[in-house]
Amino acid sequence: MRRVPEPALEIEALQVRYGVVPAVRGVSLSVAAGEAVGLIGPNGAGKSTTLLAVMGAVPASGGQIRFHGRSIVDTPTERIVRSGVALVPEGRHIFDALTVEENLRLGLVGRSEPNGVEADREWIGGLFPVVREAAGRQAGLLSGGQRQQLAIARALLAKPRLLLLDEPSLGLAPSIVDTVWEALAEIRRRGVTILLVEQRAQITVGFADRTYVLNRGRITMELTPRDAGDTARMVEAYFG
Amino acid sequence: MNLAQSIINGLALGALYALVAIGLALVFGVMRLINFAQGELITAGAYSLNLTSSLPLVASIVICFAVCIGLSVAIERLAFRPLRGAAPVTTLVATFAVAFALEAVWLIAFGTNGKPADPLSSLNQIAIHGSLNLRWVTIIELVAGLGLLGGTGLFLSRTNLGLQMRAAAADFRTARLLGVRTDAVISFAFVIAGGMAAVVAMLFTVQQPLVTPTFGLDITVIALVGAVVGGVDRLWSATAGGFAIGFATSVLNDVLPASQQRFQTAWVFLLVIILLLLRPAGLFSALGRSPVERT
Repeated sequence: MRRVPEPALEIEALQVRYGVVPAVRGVSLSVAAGEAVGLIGPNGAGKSTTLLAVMGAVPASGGQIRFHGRSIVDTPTERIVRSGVALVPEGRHIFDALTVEENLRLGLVGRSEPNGVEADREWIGGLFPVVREAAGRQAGLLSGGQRQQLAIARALLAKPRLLLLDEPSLGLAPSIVDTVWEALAEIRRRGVTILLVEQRAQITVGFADRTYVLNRGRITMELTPRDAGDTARMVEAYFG
Repeated sequence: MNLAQSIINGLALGALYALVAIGLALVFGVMRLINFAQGELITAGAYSLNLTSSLPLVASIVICFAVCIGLSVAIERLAFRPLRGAAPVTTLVATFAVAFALEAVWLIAFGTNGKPADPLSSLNQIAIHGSLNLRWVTIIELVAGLGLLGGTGLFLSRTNLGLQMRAAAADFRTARLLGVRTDAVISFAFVIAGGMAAVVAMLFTVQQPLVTPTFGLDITVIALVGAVVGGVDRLWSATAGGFAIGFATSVLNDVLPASQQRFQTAWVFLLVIILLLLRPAGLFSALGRSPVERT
């Protein structure tokens, strides 16, 4: 009998409002441990807000979010991070005035597992050699691609069980985009659960075990990797 | 008074104002808040020196630190933390409210006439005689100013908590998303601000031993102006601004003719207006990054 993987993240009927404006209207999805799940949709669909709600950075006005079976609604962000959730935010949000190494050290702040830091640094340095080589440089001097790699490396140093990525390939040169996707594949092979928000629908659908399409705060479709090659299905996903 | 003596006095007063500016800049860094209640911490410390004047000096100093740090942390916990996430103007008004409320408390408890606080008055004695007269308090102000600024700089650059404080100052939300315990970081900024206020209270009472309810307010307002002139978004520029205005105040006091001395503050603020017209982002803005916007 096939063993059903334990759900790492369960979102049920999540609602988020910015003032009176609803941003997420009853989203339900689940991500099993070790799975990679995509979240695609047009701008303003509620994708980033869903990730921020998981992080506790915006309050849920309704619904439930569970991480490995425990509710994390109304839990302070720093506690969610320490329980094993890390976010690579849209726009990278690198600390420009700090060095690359200091940015990486900030990734360790949310790490609850004190062992294996050096081994993880080795692994991450192998994933993103450019980050390792630039350790002493001021982060504000890095290129867009280098900043994105630093943002992912910083999140990985927290040793997350669930990695949330918000538009990791946005605004990057094609060669860097390949590097980022290769790194994501390696991170996934390592057993890290991934919830990925992206604009590049076809790549995301092909990469993820399942991809949800979000539109106006609601999930409108669920796609599998098989759908990545189905142009009509992809067009339907975006334009209904 | 010769020019060299005037410069030394200016350096000492500048160091005192710089200490006030450090406290203001640290809190501004992590909260984007000008804490007008910082002056009341200095007043509280000065009154504590009055109340403990019969105790051994060490006990008096320890109590002064405890009062300033305790009050600083209490203000953050009771007045500012419940307003976390409120509009900046709301928190700014709260700092005024706290400052005026505490000033009323000093008025009721101690009256308007002033209370002597002179446990450290021996520091007024001359340490070095000669063409330049150096009082102990002048030397200690210089050493304390340099030492505490250097210590704060080392703390911020070399420790994990300091790194988290710098991260929270640059981008509060991202710092939280990385797991930085922002409440702890903010509390610690208030602890340091309280400690700085205690040092200022002790050194300022040596020069001005009569403590009134507005004792700390005046020095804080001038230090704040200096911090803004320097650039309040960065520790070193705010401190340099605080130092510069203290230095200018002291030197003007010495070089202005007697008939003009009552306009000393007006001259200082005229300089401030000219500087802000020429460099609205701060006197030292061209020497570093542009001011940080909180995201």
